[in-house]
Amino acid sequence: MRYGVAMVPRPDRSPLGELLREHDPMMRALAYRLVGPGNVDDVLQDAYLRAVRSYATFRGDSAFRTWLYRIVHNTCVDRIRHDQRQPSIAMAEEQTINDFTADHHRFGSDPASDLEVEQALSELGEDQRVAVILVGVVGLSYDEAAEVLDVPRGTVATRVHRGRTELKRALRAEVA
Amino acid sequence: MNNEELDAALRSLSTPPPRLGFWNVVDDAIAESELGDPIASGDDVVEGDDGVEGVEEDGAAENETDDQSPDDNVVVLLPTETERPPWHQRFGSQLTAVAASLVILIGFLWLLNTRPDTIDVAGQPGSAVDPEDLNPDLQPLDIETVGRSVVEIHPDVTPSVEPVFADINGDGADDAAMVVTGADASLAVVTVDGESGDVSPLASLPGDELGTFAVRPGRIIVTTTDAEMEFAVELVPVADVVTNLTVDRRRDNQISDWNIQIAGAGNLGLTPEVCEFAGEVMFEARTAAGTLVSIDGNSGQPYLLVDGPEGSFEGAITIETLDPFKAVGSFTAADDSVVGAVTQITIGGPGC
Repeated sequence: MRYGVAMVPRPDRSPLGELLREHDPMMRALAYRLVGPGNVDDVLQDAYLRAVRSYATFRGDSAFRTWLYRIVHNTCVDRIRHDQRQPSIAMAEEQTINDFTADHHRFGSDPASDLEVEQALSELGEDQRVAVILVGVVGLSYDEAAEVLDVPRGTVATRVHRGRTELKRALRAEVA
Repeated sequence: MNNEELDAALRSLSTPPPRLGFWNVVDDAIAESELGDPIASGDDVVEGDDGVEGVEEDGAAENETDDQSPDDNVVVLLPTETERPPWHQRFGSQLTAVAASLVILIGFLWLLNTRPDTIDVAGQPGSAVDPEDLNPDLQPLDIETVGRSVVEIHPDVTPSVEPVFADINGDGADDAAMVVTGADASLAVVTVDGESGDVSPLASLPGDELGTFAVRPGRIIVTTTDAEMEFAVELVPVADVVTNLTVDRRRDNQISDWNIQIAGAGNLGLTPEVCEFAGEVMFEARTAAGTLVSIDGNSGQPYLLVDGPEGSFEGAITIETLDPFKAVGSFTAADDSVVGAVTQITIGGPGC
């Protein structure tokens, strides 16, 4: 193996870095509600590292953000599967709710109403929760969400509808 | 909480920013990735006096100064020549892909040859009947028949139950119902409605007074706040189709169409094996306007989704004719405005 010496600019902010920063808030909104506040940074770092590694193979067949969403979603699912194999899952779920509470106090949102919504979201099944977050919280279209989740558009619509129905029921119960 | 309030609540959820130093790891990874690719930098590799190759930047010779500050540059060693990898490393991934494609193709052809021509009668696992023999006496169907106790439960099958509280009969009030899913994914809806006793054969109970549902083989037990009621279950091979419609108005109305969902449905006499396509159980239909209607039986509960112009309504579909592979009917909104006619429902998706 022969080596050459190169002088290249220090890549403080590469185009990929800028792209990741641009899309981070929305990716964070998804991961935050899938893996919980305590894991979101670790999972997102893992996801972004995956994105960096596979960026060279990104052919632009889909939008960058859809591609990135898929990576983040898959990384979250991996983490959830991993955590489900751990014996302390019940404690972790309890901790997640506490983390949500602490976060909402810390960042000044309306803790009462937001926490109720977060809690109701966290109680949805995984499929419905992801669909509701992608469409309702993040703002993807049904077609984009279907591409991210690799399921038909009708399936996304069904999951969103069921999830919203469950949310409304849960939030109605909270009010009562 | 209505749809608009729920939309607003979801959109207003806040997410905390990344922790301190979060981006350092990512930036380092990006830097390593980009520095590992000399072509991407646009530089030319040049030979140095010491036999080690250097990289000429933008046409300038090695060691020649340019306008960049030294702090802006980093010196890295770049691989310029690699040993030729053995053949199995060069072609291994392609061979794997070809092998996987062959396996998928063979599996697909095998499935095509083994797809059953008959349909299992719900609740009777293993019993197959010709589709022509199904549903000889249940036409026409209308709202009067919707929601009757139509679940068929085989003595050996303990079905699962999902309670549903929705406007089953289109009278504007929520009814209590349950979607009963058999072990073979057979489906039925049983309703308990306090508003219109003729729709429900079970009891006259407001939905909100209901406690729990339980299903035992051949029996349905409804436990209310003050009584436990037990009902025998009818044996009906092919049952009612349509029960309830609710609208899922799209976010911000930016998408100019809507969904109608049937929150429960009768047993169509079909099993997922018959109509499974790409992992989904799909029943398709077309409205008079030519828009696609599909009943998504994914996870064992059929949902009717109608794509069409923007709107918000509740109502009911009347199925006028029904056979194992086609249903014809019309949709009427709860406010008496006809939203669209269902001209044909084709039971079975593209894979059926």
